[in-house]
Amino acid sequence: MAKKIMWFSILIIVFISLIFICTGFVMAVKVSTGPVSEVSKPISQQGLQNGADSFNDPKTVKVLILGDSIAKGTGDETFRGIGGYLTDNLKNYTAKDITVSNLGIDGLKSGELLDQVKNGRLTNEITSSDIILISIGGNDLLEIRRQGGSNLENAFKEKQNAYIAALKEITNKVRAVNKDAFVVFVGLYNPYDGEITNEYAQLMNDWNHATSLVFADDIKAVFVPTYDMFKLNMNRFIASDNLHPNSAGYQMIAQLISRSLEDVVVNM
Amino acid sequence: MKLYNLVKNEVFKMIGKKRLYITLGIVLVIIAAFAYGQYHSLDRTKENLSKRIGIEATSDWRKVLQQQLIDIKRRMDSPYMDDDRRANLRVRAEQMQFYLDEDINPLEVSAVTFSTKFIEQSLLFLLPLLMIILSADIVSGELSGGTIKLLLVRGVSRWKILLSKYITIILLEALVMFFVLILSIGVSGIFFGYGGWTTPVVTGFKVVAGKLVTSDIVNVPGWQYLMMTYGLAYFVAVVVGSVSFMISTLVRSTAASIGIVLSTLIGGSLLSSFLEDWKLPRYFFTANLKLTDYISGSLSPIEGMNMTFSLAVLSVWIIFSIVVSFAYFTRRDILV
Repeated sequence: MAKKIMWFSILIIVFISLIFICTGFVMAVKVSTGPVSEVSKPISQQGLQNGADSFNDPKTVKVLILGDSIAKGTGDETFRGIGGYLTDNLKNYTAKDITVSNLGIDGLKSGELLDQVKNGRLTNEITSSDIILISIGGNDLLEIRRQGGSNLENAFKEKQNAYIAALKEITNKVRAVNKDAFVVFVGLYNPYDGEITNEYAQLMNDWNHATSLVFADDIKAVFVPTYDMFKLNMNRFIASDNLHPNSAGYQMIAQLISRSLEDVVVNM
Repeated sequence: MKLYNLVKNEVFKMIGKKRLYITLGIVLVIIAAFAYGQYHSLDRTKENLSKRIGIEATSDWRKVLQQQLIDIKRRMDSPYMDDDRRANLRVRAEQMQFYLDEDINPLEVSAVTFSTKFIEQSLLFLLPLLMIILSADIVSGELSGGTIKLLLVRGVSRWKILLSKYITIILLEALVMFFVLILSIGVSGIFFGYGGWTTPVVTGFKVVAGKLVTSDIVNVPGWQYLMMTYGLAYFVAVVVGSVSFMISTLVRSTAASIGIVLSTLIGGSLLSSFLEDWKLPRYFFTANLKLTDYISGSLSPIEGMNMTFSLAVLSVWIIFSIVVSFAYFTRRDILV
C-alpha cells in the first residue's frame, strides 16, 4: 500500500515537473529562434524632423551640443551638464527661449564625431542651430594613456595630428552647412591631479594650443580654455570618478562659455 | 511483462539506492552555500556602493534609478542612436519603470532570480554531474553485479529491458529537476524572501550571422523566465543522461563508466575554447550545453552557432546514444 502511494506520488511529481519543463522549453525555443523581425522605421528620422521644426525660429536661441561625455554631462550629480547651466546663464542676456539639443555620447573620439558629421544625419540639427558647442579629444588623450608605450611624445604627436585633421574637417563640415552659428570649443583640462609628469603637462598644453589654432581664423568661433580653471581646483570641480567634472565643474565651464558669448546672445 | 511494470520496477530499484538521496543532499548543500555566498556578496556590494556614491544605495535607489531612466530616455531621443541599441534601451527603460512602479530595489536578489541563476551556473558541470551519478551505472551496475541475468531469464525481450531503464532515467531526471527547483526556491527564500515572480527579465536575444541581435528583445515575468531556464536545463539533463546511458551500456564496470563520462565532459569543455577558430568542437555535445546563454544574451556569439544549431546538435547526440545503446545491448553476449 505504502509502495503504491509512493509510486503514484512519484508519477504525479514527475508529471507536474514534465509539464512545467516542457512549457518552459517551448517558450525558451520560441523566444530565441525564428526570423528577426523587420526593423521598424528608424526613430532617428523622426528626431531629425522634430529638430527641423525650430529651424530659423526667430523667437528661440538654439544651442547644439556635440561631442563626448563632457558635452553630455557625465559626472554631474544633478544630471544637468553644461547645457543645463548654460541655459540658466544665457537667460540673463536674452528674452528669447533657449533650447538645448544635447547629442553628447560617452567615450566619443574625434574620428567618431567626424563620422557622425560626415554621414549627414546631423545636418538638419547643425543648420538650425545658433550656437554649436563642441567638446571632443578627451577620449583620444585617454587612449594614449591607456596604450602606454615608451615614447610618450611620439604617441602624442601622432594622435594629435590625426585629431587636429579630424577637428579641421569637422569644423569645415559644420561651416559648409551653417556659416552663421557661433561655434564654441571646450578646451581640455587635466583630471590627473599631481600624478602627471612635466612632459605630459607640456604635451597637453601643446594639444590645447593646436586646438585653439583651428578656430583662430574663424571670426565666429571661440576656444574656451578650461585647463587653468581646473588646475588648482581639482577637489572642487572633479567628480568622484576622478575623470569627469562634477556639478560645480560643469557650472564653471558653463559660466566661462556664457561670459564669452554674452554680447553675441544679447544681440541675437 | 509489460513495459509499465518494468519501469515501475526500475524506479523502485533507483529509489532503493542511496545515490538518489546523495544527489539531492549534494544539491541541498551546494544551494545553501551558494545562497549564503550570494547573500554575503550582496551585503558587500551595498556597502561598497554606499561608500562610493556617499548615499545609502539601499534607501536612495529610487533617486538613482529615476535619473538613469531620464538619461536613457534622453539617449533614445538622440538622432544617431542605431535601432539595435535603441531597442536595448527601450527594454531597459521598461525594466526600470517596473522597478520604480513596483518599488523593487534592482539590487535585491529574490528566490526566483536566485533559482534562475543557480541553474544557469550549474548547467555546465553540476547538473551534468548529478545526471551522471544518477544514470552512469544503470546498466553497467547490473552487468558488474551480475543481476542482469535475473532480468534476462524472465523472458522479457532485451530492448524492453533497456527501454524501461532509459525511461526511468528520463523520469528520474524530471524528479531531480523538480527537487532542485523546490530546494533552491525554499532555501534561497530564507535569505532573500520569496518574491520576484513578476519582476521582468530581458530575453529574446537572437544570434544572426555571428552577431547578437537585440532588436527583438522583450521583458518576460520572472516566473516565465524561470520556466524557460528549467526547460532548457532539463533538455541538457536528458542529453547528458543519454550519453552516460550509452557509456553505461558499453562498459562493464560502473567506475569506468562514470570516469569516461566525466572525462568526456571536462575534456569537451576544454575543447570549447577553440570554438572560434576550429569548427569541429561545436558538434560535440559539451560545446552546446550552455543553452541558457541564448535566452539571457550573455554570450559572445560564434558564427554559425545559435539556439537552433545547439538544439539540433544535442538532439542528434540523444538519438545517436539511444541507437548505439540499443544496437549494442541487444547483440552483446551475456552469459546466463
